[in-house]
Order: sequence, then structure tokens, then C-alpha cells
Amino acid sequence: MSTPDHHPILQFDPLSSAVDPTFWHALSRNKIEVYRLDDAARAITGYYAPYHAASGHQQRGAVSQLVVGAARLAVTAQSFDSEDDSNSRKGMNGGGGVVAPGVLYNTNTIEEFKKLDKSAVFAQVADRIWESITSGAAVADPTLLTRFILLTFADLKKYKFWYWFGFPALLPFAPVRVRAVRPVREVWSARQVEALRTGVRGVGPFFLVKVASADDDDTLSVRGLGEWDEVVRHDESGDGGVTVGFVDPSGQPAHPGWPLRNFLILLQTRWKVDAVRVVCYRETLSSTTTTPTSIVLDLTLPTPSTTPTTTPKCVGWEKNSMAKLSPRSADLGPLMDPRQLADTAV
Amino acid sequence: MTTFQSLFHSAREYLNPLLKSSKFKETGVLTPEEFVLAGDFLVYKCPTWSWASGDPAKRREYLPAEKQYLITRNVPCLQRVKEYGGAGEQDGGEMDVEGESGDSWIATHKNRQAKGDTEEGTIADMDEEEEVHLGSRDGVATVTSKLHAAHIGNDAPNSEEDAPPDGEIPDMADIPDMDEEDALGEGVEEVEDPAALPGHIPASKREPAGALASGNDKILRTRTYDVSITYDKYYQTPRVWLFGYDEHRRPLTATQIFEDISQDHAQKTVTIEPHPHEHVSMASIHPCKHANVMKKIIDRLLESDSGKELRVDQYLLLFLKFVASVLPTVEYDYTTSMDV
Repeated sequence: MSTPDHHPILQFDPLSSAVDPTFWHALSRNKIEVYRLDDAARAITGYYAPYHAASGHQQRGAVSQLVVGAARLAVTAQSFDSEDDSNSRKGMNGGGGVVAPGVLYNTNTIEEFKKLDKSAVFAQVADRIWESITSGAAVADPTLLTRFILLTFADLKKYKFWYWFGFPALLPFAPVRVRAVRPVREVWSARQVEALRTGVRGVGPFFLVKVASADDDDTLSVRGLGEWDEVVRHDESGDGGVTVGFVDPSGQPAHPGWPLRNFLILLQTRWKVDAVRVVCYRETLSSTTTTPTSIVLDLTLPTPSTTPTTTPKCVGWEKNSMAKLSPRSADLGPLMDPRQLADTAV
Repeated sequence: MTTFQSLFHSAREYLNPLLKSSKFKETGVLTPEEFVLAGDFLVYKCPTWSWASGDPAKRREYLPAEKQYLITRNVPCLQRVKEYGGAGEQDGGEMDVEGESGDSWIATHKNRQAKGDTEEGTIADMDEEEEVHLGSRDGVATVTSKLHAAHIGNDAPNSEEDAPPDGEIPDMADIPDMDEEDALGEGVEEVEDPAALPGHIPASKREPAGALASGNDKILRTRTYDVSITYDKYYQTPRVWLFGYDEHRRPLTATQIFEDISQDHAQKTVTIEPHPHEHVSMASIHPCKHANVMKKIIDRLLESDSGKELRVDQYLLLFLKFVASVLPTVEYDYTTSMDV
């Protein structure tokens, strides 16, 4: 293995759940009108977007500090809509959103929430992600790489909700090391960056990047993963490099967001990639900050000699506000409970 | 389900005829069609904003199904108003408001102007509207004290007043929710993962300004707001709604939200009411003075450059300048160009 050990291990910015209050209302309504006592797993949809830097720096005394928000995956009332009626609440996920398929386990009691074999249901999701990688289903539909799990218990009398998100990431076969991190503009020309921006809109959350190497032909195109053979295997530029990209919900200046993890496993397992250039696609409003936030990573991926036949170990439970592996709670009583609201009437 | 004044308001909204012809330059009000035009322009100019359809059961017929209201999410709010202090609060602040061509004008004493409207205006032409408005102030006080009490009882301290002065926090074992959260997480373990970037640090390492340092000490976690704009048929103006989250994405209480509202407006023109398109109550800036304020802003803009044509689709960009005076530390952008 050619990996020089002096290169640091790549660290990924974990996702943070963002639950819209409309999600809790829709869950409550579904529990009463549809699920009742049926606690079977339900398909839901999550949303994330390229990190969007609206404000670059905060001046505190003499020190200007970079302000970076969390990498968010959101669920809203629209998360319960099936494909057929998703248009009925169009726009809830905000502009430029990417969908992530999720599975919801809503228990009937707090005791059931406690007793639920969380490791088992988490492992089931990990198995499905691994299956989509080995079968190639994730090449056709890369959103399968960001499958997530959500456990909930809704105390409908108090409008109090217990919840726990898991964002399963298959562990790498050996640590991924990072050779270089650079802002996108140090790697590509303004024209190429613009081509990247327009290209990403039409392709989706994970993509291939084809860059013409000739200086006088300053072009870049964004392609779907299904075009791997054309873009990479029959690449005539001769440098043999593989360049990929993903819609990155993280704004960390030196780290990619969590969704890249399973994508790297796909690259290794499916195409035996051992070195890759990755563009972490983010957006910035140019008048509020002078530094665009998209970054380009040069990575070495230690490739296993044989592809594992079972699902690799998996991590990704969200930590709670005290940084512990525990659920979170949300008390919406003051804002949803008719009795509590009625109390405030004059 | 709803407060008395909001029920009353929705009844009046129902009875009030729709505004048909444009009057925005004369009176500062908008027709529903103009609201849609201005919303389309806002979404085009500021891609962080998008149209939402809301709950289909609460759809307003006079607006397109997919354009019921506007929303922008996760807007950072870096510091509390009292910390912001300084010029903004002392003299009402000066804001450079840019016109479409890049010509700018200065809106001075925005806060005072709005304050004058709410206080003097209220006394001078006290009428039915204003009585309702005053009533709602009492409602807010009730909500505030109620939420504040509830908040102390069952959650970790997360407003500055609650935090003990030395920055320490009480033993988490004393807080029932934390115990329950821990108990519910029992049995879940994960292998060590050196590839996970260390995330949030516990609240005990709180930064003075209420923002949390992350793995990198230059990176801060902040309060955020979801801001939405609805069309108020009675007042014929846009109306702003706020839903806030703390540094750990827990919903903010009314008391905490008022920390982010300029002192001229907190608990006077900002109330907690049911959102017209969703099943949640939120903080809202009462729209009774919006038309007056918008009329003044429009007049100033036209005076400063008499040759300039003001288009109605620019209304919401101007409206957000006014909203900025109410929410001085909430950093939504008005910018128009995108970079990567």
C-alpha cells in the first residue's frame, strides 16, 4: 500500500438533525389518524442542501472569527408525503435541496422506545446501504447512500417528542488520508467553477467531474455516476486521475461533510479507486464573504485486497445536546398545545 | 386553539374585501398579486428564500397553491440585542439602503421612527385596531411568563439570564430531561471512529456571547431562525413570522426570542400567534403599522431620486430592510449574487 502515513486522517463533519415544527405536527396527526397503534417502520424523506454561507465572519473585538453553521439534514411535514403527493407541499424543503431516504420507527410508549433494539434497526439500515453499494443500485440512485434512521416517541398529551437520528456511515477499510485541501478557485478557473455550479444543479447529490486538461480548452463538465466508463475508464486526457464531487452540507473549511463517507466506500468497492480528487460543493453569497467555501480534497483510499462479503462496521448515531449517545427531546407544548395556547388568550 | 385577538383578526380578514388595484406608492399596501410578484422577485434575487405551500387545509384561495408564503431557514443570529448594543440602540442606527441602480440612501433612526409609530400613533388615533393590538400585549406577557416558568422547570439553562454568573451550569443529574435522555440511550455503543470530526462541546464550555465553540475554536455554533413572510389580507401587507432554535437546535422559548428583538419592539409589536399556514404558534411582528412604515420608506426612496421608478416587485426587499430594524442581529441576507 502506497499510503504515506504522514498524511493526516480525513475527518468528516457529522450531520446535525433539523426538525421543523411542522414535522412534529404531521407526525402527531399521522399517529392519530393513520398509524394508530401500528408501530411498523415507515418510509420518510429528509432534505439537505449545499452549505450556504450567508455571513462569513463575525467581528469580536480585534478578532474576526469564522462562523460556520451545522451541516443539517432536515425533516418537515413534507417528509411524510409519498412521491405521488409531494407536489402538494412543494417548497417546504427550501431551494436547492437534496433528498435522503429515511426510515421512521415511531413507538407507542416511552417504554417501547427504551426497549427498541436500536443497534439492530440501525444495522438493518447499514445493510441496505451496503447492499445498494455492492449491487450497483447506488450508482443509478446515489441518494441510497444517505439513507438515515429516525426513532421517535410522541407524547401527544404534552406535545413532547423524543427522537433520535442515525446517519449510518460504513467505516473505511483503512483510514482515508488527505494529501491536500484547497479552495476550489486554487484548483480550477473561474469558468470551470461556473460550469461546476450550473452542472451540479442538473445532476444530483453525488457526481463525476470531467476536466479537460488542455490549457486552451478550459472546460469542466458534471456527469452522473452512471457515466463512469465514459468519463473515467475511457478518459483520454491521460493523467488517469479520478475527480468526483458531492453536494456538501458542511461548511467546515478543511473537512468534508458526512455524506462523502459512503460515497468513498462506493468508489472503493465498485471501481477499486485508490486515489481521488473530491470537490465538496458549497455555496456562498459573494457579497457577504470574500472567500468561497467549496473545497477540493486530494485523498488516498487504501483499497482492500478483497472486497468484504459482509457489511462493514457502521457508526453515525447523532449525539444529543450534551454530546452523549442518547436521544434528544423537544417540548412543543407551549407552541402546539391548544390548552396551553388557550391559556394565553386575553 | 387560538387566542381571542387572532380569532378576531381572522374574522376581520375574512370579511375584508381583497385589494384589487395597486396602491403601494400611495399607502404602502400590497394586493395579493403584488405580493406574489414581490415574492417571486425576492426568491430570484435572494436564493435563500423560497415559496412554500403550507398545509393544504389552510390554503388561501387568493394566492397560488404553491406560493402561499415565503420562507428562509437556518438564518444565523450571532449575538443578543443587548450585546449588540452600541450605536444601533443608542441612536436608532443608520442603515445604508441600496437602490436598484446602486444609488444609496440612508435610513436614519429606523428604530425611533418605528417606535414613534407604535407609541405616538397608538395614542393619537386610538381605534378598534389599536385596542386589539393593546390586548395582544397583555397576551404576550402571559405567554412570556408562562414559557419562562416552563423552561426553567424542565430543560438545561440556555439563556444568558439562566446561566450562573461564573459560567458553570448545574449538575445535569438535577435535570429530569437529561436523565431521561441518558436512560433512553442505554445499550447503544459505537466503535471508536477517528474519522468523525469532534462535534459540539457541552454547554459548560459556553462562549460569553452565547455561541458555542466547536472542534475548531474559531468555529461557532449559533442560534438560528426560520423566518417566514405571509400575506395579511386585513392589513394588506406582508407579515413576518419567526421560529428560533438554540445552539443545539432546541426550539427557543418566547423569552429567548425577545432577546433577539430590538427593545423598541419586543413585547410591544411582537406577539406569539398561530401561523396562518402551519399548525404551530410563532413570534410575529404585528402588521398594523407596516403600511405606514413602508409608505415612509417608499416616499424617502422616491424623494432621494425623483427620476427613479420604483417597481412593486421590489417591495419585499425594502420590507426586509424594515424588518432588520426589528431584528438587528438576525443576519439574513439581501444579496443577489451566488458563488461557490
